[in-house]
Amino acid sequence: MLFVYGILLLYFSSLLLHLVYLAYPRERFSRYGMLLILLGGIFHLVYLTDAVVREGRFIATTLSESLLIFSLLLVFIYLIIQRFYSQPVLGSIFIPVVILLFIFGLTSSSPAPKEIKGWWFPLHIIFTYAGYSFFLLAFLTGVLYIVQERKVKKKHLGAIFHKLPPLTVMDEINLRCITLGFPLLTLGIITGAIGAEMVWGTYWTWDPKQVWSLIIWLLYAGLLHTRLVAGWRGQKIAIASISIFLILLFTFIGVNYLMPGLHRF
Amino acid sequence: MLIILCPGFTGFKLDAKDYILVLGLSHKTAPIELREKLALPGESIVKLLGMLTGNNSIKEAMIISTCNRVELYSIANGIGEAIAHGKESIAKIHNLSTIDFELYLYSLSGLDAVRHIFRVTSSLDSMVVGEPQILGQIKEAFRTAIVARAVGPIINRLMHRAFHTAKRVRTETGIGRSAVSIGYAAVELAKKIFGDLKGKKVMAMGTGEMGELVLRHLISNNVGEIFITNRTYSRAETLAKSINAKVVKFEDYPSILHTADIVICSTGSPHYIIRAETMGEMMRKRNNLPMFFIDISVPRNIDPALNDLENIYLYDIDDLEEVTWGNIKEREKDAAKAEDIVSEEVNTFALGLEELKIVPFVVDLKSRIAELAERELKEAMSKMKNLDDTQKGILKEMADAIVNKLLHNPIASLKKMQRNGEIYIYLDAIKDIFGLKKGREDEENKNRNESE
Repeated sequence: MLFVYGILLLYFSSLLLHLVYLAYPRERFSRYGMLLILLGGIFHLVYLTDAVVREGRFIATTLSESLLIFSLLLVFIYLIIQRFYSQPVLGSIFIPVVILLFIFGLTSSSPAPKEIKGWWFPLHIIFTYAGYSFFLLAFLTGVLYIVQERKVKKKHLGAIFHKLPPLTVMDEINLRCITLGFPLLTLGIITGAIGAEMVWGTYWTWDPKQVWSLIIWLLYAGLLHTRLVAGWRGQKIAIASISIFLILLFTFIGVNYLMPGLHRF
Repeated sequence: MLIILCPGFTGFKLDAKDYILVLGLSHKTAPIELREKLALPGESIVKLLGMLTGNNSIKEAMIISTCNRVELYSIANGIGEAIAHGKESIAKIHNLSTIDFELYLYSLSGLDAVRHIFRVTSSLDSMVVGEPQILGQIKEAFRTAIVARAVGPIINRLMHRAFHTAKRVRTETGIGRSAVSIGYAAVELAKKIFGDLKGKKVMAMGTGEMGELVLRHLISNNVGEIFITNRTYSRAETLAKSINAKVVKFEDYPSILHTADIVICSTGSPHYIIRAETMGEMMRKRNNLPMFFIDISVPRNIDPALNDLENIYLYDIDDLEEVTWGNIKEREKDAAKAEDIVSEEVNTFALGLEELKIVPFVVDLKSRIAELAERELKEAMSKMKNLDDTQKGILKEMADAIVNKLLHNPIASLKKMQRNGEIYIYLDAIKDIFGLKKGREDEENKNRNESE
C-alpha cells in the first residue's frame, strides 16, 4: 500500500507543478512536472506488473483493475503527446483525470474475477483503453478549443486566453489523437471478437456494449472522414469529438450499470 | 470634401509680413487615390522645395509626403500669394491642374498652423492615433529640407519645438504605447491562432504606416513569405525592398489571397475590398486552414461579417485597441492629455517667437548704453592723471554698475509688457526715446544691400 501512496504522491506533486506552471509559466516547472508524472507512471507500471506476477493472471478482469490500467495508459499517452507538442497547460486538466481514475480503481470493490484464459482479452483491453485514452485527450483539447475559439471570436482576451494553447495546436492534437485512437479501437474490437470466439464460440453476440462500441467506431470513422476528406477543421471537429466522447462515456458507464450483458465493465 | 481656408488673419505676425503656413491634404480630406497621386518621391521633394523657395512669397519650406498626407509647411510672405504659389508648384510637379486637387486642400496659418504641425508630429492627426512612424517621417522630411537649403531659422525653431512636443506626448501619455502594443497584440493573437508563426504566409494590402508597423512586428517573429500589394505599384515595391517581400499587382491579389495565413489590410479604400461571400471559395481552396485578418483601414476595408465565418478571425483597429487598452475611457483621458500638451507647447512657441522679437532690441539697448558709458569713462580717465590700476578698476566698476542699474528696470518692464502682450504699444516709443530706431533701420538696409 505504501507503494501506491508513493505513486499517488508523485502524481499529485506533478499536478501541483503543472498548476504552478499555469500561474507562472517557467519552463523548469513543466519540466519537473513531466519528470514526476513519468516517475509515477514507471512505478505505476511496476505495481501492475508485480500484481500480474503475484496473481498469476492478467489483471484486467475487474473494473478496479481495468481502471488502474486505463490510468496508466493515460499517463503514457499524455507523455507521448507532450513529447511532440509540449503544451504543459493540458496537464492541469488531464492529470486530475488520471488521479481520479487511479483512486477510483484502488477503492472500488471488485467482484470476483472471471476466469478468462488466453492473451486475446488482455490485448483487447489494452487496445481499447489506449484508444479511449486518445479519445479522452481529443475530448479535452476539443473543449479547450471551443473555449479559446470563443475568446478569439468574441474578442474577450482575458487570463484564460493567455494560458490556453494556440487554436491550430489544439486542432492538431485533436487530429493526432483521433487518428491514433481509431486504429487502436479497431484493434480492440477485433481482438475482443477473436477472444469471444475462443471463449463463447461466437465472434459477435450483439450485446449492448458491442453495439455501442460499433456505433462509436462508426462515428469516429465518420469524423476522420470529414476531417481528412471533406476538410473539416476547428470548431466543427472539436464539437464532434466532444459529442462522440460523451457517447463513449455513456457506453463505458451507462451500459455497464444499466444494461445487462457480457461486459461487466 | 473639406476645405479649411483661412484668408483672414488668424495668426500673428513674425515680421512685417511673415506667416507660418500649412498647405496640404490628408486621409481626413482626400481619398486614397488622390493621396497616392500627389505623393512625392525624394527627388521630387527636393525639386519642389526649389520651386517653392524660388519665389518671393515663400521664405522657408519643408514637405511631408506619406501615404496618409502630403503637406507643405512654409514661412510665407503673404498668405494669398503663398497659397497660390504652393498650389501651382504642386500641380506643376505632378503635371496636374490645380482644379484636380484644390477642393481637398486645407490651409492653416499662424497658431492654427503651429498647432496642426505639432499635432501631426505627435501622431495625434494620424489615421491610427499614436502610430510611431510619423515622427521619423517628419524628421526625414525636415532633414531633406535642410539639405535642400529650404529651411531657415523659423522652421528650424518650429520643428525642434514640434519634436519636443512629440517626445512629451509620447513619454507623458500612453498614446504611443497603444499603437506599439497594437502591433504586439496582433502578433499575440496570431500566435494564439497559429502557434508558431514560423513559415506562415503574410499578405499586406496597402502600405499604410500602421500596416507596416504590424508587418514589422510579424517579421520579427519569423513569419514566412510576405506578399505586398498596393494600388500604386511603386509604393509596394519600395516597402517590399526594405523588408524582403514579394510584390503582387493589385489586380492579381485575389488569385493568391487564399495562400496567405495572415492578411493585413490598410488600403484606405472607401469600401469593402474583401467580402464574406467570396470567402467560402477561398476557404475551400485552402482546405479550411484558419485565416487571420487584420483590418487597419479607416473606413473598414474588410467586411465585418468575415468574423462570423468558420476558421476566419477578423480584428479591426478598434478591436485591437480595445484588446490592448481594456477600456476606452483611459484612452480618451490620454488623448485629452496629449491635446493639452500640444496647446501648452503652442503657447510656449508663440511666446518664444515674441521673445525673438524683443531680444535684438534689448541687446541693442544694452550695447548702445554700454558703448556710451565706455566712451565717457575713457574720456574721464584721460583727463585724470596718475591713476593706479585699483582706481581705474573702481571707476570701471562704477560705470558698469550705472549701466546695469539704469537698464535693469526698463528691461524687466519690457519683458513683463511682452508677457502681457502690451509691448507693441511701447516698443516704438522706447525705440524713439533711446534713438534706436534709426540706427537699426540703417543697419538693416545695409544688410539687405549686402545680401542683394
